[in-house]
Amino acid sequence: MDIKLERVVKSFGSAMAVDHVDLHIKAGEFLTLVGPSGCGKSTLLRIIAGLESQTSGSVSIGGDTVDAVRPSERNLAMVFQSYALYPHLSVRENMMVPLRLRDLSAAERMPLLGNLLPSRATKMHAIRSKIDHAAETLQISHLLERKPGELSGGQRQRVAVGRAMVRQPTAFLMDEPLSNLDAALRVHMRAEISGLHRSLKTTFIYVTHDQAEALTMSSRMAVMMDGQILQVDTPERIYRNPADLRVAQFVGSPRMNIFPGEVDSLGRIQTLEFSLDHVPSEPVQGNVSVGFRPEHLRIVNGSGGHDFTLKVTHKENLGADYFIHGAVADGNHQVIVRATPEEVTGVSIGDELGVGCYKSSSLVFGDSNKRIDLRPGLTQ
Amino acid sequence: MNTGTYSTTGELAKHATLILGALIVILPFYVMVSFSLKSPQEIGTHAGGFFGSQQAFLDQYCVKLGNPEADCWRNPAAYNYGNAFKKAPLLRYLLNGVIVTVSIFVIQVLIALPCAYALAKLRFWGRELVFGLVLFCLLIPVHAIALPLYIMLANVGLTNTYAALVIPWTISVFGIFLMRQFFKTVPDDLIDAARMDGMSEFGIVWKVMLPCAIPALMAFAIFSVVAHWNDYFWPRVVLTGSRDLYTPPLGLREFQGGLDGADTGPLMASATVIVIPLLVAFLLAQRKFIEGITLSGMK
Repeated sequence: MDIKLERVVKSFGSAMAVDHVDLHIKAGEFLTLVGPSGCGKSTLLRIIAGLESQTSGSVSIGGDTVDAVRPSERNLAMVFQSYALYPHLSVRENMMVPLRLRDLSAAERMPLLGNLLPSRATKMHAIRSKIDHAAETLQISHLLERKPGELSGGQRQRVAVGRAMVRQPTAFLMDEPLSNLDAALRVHMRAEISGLHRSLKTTFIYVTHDQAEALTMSSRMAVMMDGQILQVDTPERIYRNPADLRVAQFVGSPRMNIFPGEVDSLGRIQTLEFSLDHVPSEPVQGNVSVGFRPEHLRIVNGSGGHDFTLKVTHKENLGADYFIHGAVADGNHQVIVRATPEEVTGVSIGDELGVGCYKSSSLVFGDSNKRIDLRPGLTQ
Repeated sequence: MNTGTYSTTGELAKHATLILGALIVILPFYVMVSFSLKSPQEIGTHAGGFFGSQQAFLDQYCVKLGNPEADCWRNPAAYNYGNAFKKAPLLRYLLNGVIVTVSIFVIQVLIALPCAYALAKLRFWGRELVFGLVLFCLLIPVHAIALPLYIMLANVGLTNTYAALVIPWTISVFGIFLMRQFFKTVPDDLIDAARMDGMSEFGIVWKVMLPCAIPALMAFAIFSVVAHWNDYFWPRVVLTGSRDLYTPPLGLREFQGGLDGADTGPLMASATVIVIPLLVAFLLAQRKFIEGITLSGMK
């Protein structure tokens, strides 16, 4: 079932947490809401869940508007950052709660009387088998009798996912589920959650501030900033083809290098000490920002052939790659260049290096941060 | 510089102060238990140490009643504790105490937990004002409103009933305040998870917040039960007739009227008897208290 948000607004006083968001989440997709903290992504997720009511706009699930529907009746399941397991219940009981509340009648839930009702036994049997099945999938069968306090972070995370899984929801809502885990476990759980999505084929809506999680896991990602969705697309296209300067800077690590530029009288874009080969498809005037990702810059040895020079301030060794941090000769701009270990042997801090640009990979943004399309220049 | 090491005299002074404080707290208790075990003569002459000699003594009252002297020799401890139960219906008083304190505590919890939940976790207009009023009520001394309370209860004809002993205490602002402070520390995510699972707000109070709040509830139980078990003032105000409703502290009055000093022993024995349930309850609660803390595996 598709989930649709139409013109959703959430304001706290004069502050807009969610600012006229339209979003169409297709059945079965893994959509990531990604953005810096405070951008409204969690609020948006809570609006979808029904835990927060929007100021205006509407949410529909499978074509039905759910604005007046209680969270539990939307048939969504949520996994929280703090796991939010009931501390006094065992893992099995934790996973049982949503099913007991949904499948058993009030009479059947009564402590002693309920046991006398014949319908309860069959329902409880079904619930138990669902829990055993989910526990097997998540490999937590051996933990079922433990209390959450006796589990490690990763195990609690799995139990939280299990509690969400047992009710076979229309969609899983995940609110930064990995941010309480240590780095190694986080990378592992990334793969595991992606695998879970592939096997369950259910819609996942995943909130994170970590652009790496968004890039690695999602089928589509929505980049949010200041309550607005700036761009929704596949991770590849968001990375290669960002529509907004803020998206370009947020996605990708290390950050994209941004240089100030301006369009000269011939329509060419000038930046630092060089001009781009491409020109804007539509005529543009005034100041622009020119972006190069670190992998679109290269170290040029020897004199000549470089587009600008930098003074090395820091060498970051990632094993297979190096990132060279430096200051551009004019002193006003920091730049990060990706290099191979071979290219940087003998380079030390304080050295002057020539840097070349893959100019056709440059991304240019105009005023109001909007992307400017380029076409090959006439001079070529 | 001598940092990190403790000076011996300083340590001694600290411990001496602490020991002195402990003695001041423990001594009355010591005297109570000790007197409850001794004969009137030993109490009068401060003889016999803690346990007394436990030698049989002559019960003068028994002799005055005209009984032969040989039948009037008594073991002190047995005499004191026996008389505690004989001279006053102490078991009846203990039962009254249990009925009153348990009723008060249960109703306090029934009222305080939903209130505390609303004040801690629900957003509604005027919440801060209501919480301010709760804090304000904490400042009102009981004795200041005793008379109006008595008049109200008298007007509805409730004096000399259990209701009179229980009703004025059912809304505990202290309980609301304490539980609200504790509920503030329960993560919002847990409540949202319960909502997603389909729990009602009342379901959340009793099935999620209550189990999380066992340590705080135990602390509140100690305050509430001790205060109302030991309360002398309020039962004295509203119980004007029948002694059937007397709570244990009122029961002690039975012994105060005695003109002969022979009643000191039984008085101390009954005082000991009414303290014991509290001690037992506290020891049980203490274990629960610790379990409660280890139970909460939330981070």
